Amino acid sequence: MTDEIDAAGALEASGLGMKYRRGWALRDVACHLPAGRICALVGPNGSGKSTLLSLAAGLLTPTTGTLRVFGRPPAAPAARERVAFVAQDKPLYPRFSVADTLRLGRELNPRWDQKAAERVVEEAEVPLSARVGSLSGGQRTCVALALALGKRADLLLLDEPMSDQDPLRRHRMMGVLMAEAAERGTGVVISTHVLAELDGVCDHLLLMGGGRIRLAGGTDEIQAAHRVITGPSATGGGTPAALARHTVVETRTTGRQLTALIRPEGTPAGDGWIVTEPSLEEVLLGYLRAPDAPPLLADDPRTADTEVGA
Amino acid sequence: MSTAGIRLAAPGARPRTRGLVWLVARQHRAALWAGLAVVVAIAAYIVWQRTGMVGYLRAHDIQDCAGWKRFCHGRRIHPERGSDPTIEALRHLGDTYRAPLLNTGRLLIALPALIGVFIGAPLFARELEMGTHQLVWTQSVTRTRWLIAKLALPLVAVTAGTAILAALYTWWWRAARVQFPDIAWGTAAPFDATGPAAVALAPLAFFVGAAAGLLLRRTVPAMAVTLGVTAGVQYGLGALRPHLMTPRTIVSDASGDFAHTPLEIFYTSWRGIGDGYLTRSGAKIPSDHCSSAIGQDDWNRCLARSGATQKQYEELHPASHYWPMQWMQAGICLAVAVALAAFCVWWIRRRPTVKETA
Repeated sequence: MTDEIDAAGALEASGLGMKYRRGWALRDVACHLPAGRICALVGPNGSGKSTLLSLAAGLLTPTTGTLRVFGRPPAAPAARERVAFVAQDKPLYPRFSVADTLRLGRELNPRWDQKAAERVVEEAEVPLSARVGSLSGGQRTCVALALALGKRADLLLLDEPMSDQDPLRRHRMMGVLMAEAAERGTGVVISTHVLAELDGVCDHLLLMGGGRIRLAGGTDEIQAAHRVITGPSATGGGTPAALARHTVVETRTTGRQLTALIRPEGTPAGDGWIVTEPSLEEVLLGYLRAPDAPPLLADDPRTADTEVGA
Repeated sequence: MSTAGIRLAAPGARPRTRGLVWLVARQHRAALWAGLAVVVAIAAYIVWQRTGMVGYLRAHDIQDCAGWKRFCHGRRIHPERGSDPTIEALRHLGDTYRAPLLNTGRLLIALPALIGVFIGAPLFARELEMGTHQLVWTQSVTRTRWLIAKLALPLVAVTAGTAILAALYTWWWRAARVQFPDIAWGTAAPFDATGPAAVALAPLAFFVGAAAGLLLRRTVPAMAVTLGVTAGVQYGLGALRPHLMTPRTIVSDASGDFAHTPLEIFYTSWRGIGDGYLTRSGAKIPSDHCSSAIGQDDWNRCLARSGATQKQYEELHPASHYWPMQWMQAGICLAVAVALAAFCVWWIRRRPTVKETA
């Protein structure tokens, strides 16, 4: 039964929209995240990352469309047990001690793992007797992460968990997080705008912009679907003929040389053009610099064949 | 034998609260101790005062005696004589205990507002303000269960605390009632501080605060609104109270003398509900009917015009109305409290309640 549900994926959205009083925060989002993936959720501020995570955590009800976690509505008790969420501002009870906060996790979660939670707190060198209100921002984040890991969820939703950590603790926390994920096959969705943070860690990517998904899929697939080509810029500007067949994400001209990030259709070769496979960071930067570039949804069952299979 | 039984049954098995009960108890630990201290302090004061008062009554042998009664334990009372020992003792009793009795009542009628403002209003408002509701809502419990636990535990505590104080104050009031006939039992203190009416105000104020916090999502505005609404409710209940039951009308003889009405009626009833003159046909002309008259002649002419005779009437609530009115007011308060509780549950179930942050 569990396997059957897992086949539905950790996260599955279609036509998902969320409208606040001031306007749409998410529009027509469709995505599919298989269970056990480490997914980076990237995008500029206000692109809808937090809204998507709050929807997946069952804190918000979508205005349009549907969202399923492990095949169930996020607010359903069966889904709640399997999903842990760390909100962006890391809400905790300031008058509780760290031990009290972990006890909260133990009292409210049937699968609670006290040892796993304590390990995180120890790794971050936060004393169990300290009051949460007296901790630094980074230490509070560690307590929030401990609470999420102790829940023994199958999907961790982390909203910018490393933003207030010093580099050393960030490294340690990522280590603990990834060790837990690897050991138990836990899926993770981690939102960030520090791309380097997730280099070599994530195997899935969601890039958001303007409330929509711009890039979605496995990191390998995404990387493989892009090329950086460098060559002479066309005289008098405009798109050189060599790029015409391909989907151009972004072009930059330096002197007489043009560098473009493209999604090649067929062989991107051409006389005088150097073709390389970009790093994931190069792909992301290209999309971030070009907000109007056409989206690539490699994870959407409706478009996967047409977009990637080609 | 029982000691052995306890010892056997209790190897380290100190009862431990669990789940949401633990969470709510932990969150309100400070408030619980503070509330307990307030209850113990006021209870101790009431017991001390009542014990002193009853001791004084016994020492001077004036239990159930009052100035208007002709006899006190077989002794004739002479109110007109300056040195009557019974009258002297009653006067001294009034000097010593009247202010404590009334002030304790005033303190108790302020308790519902305090409960609403300091326990009810921050209950959800503080969580919604600080975002900690997101923490609990993403654990493995439903938000409806969380809401019910958050409401139920403090509700039981404030109701129990208020019930203890109301019972003690009722106990004191009943011993003092006869000696203080001038304290109208229908006024807020003592009516809202005694009996089931006092107890029912606590859950009402608590739910007013909780609902305000849920709606406003800000602690300080919720507290202010709760204070206003609770004060308004208590004022409104006071205005409604005389109309809860039909008052009894007593009527004078043709010359305006109430001599045939037993004195006890005047000294045990809640008076001042209404008075005036009767017409020949028995219709009531309220005494304020001619309130715009200037001078005695004008007043007399006005009364004569309306057909009033010398025969007067007065409307009052006899002492027997006290308990039915207590239960009626308690019923009203509890009905509104239940409606507010249902509203809280409905609200949390239908609202996708999260701050609008991107």
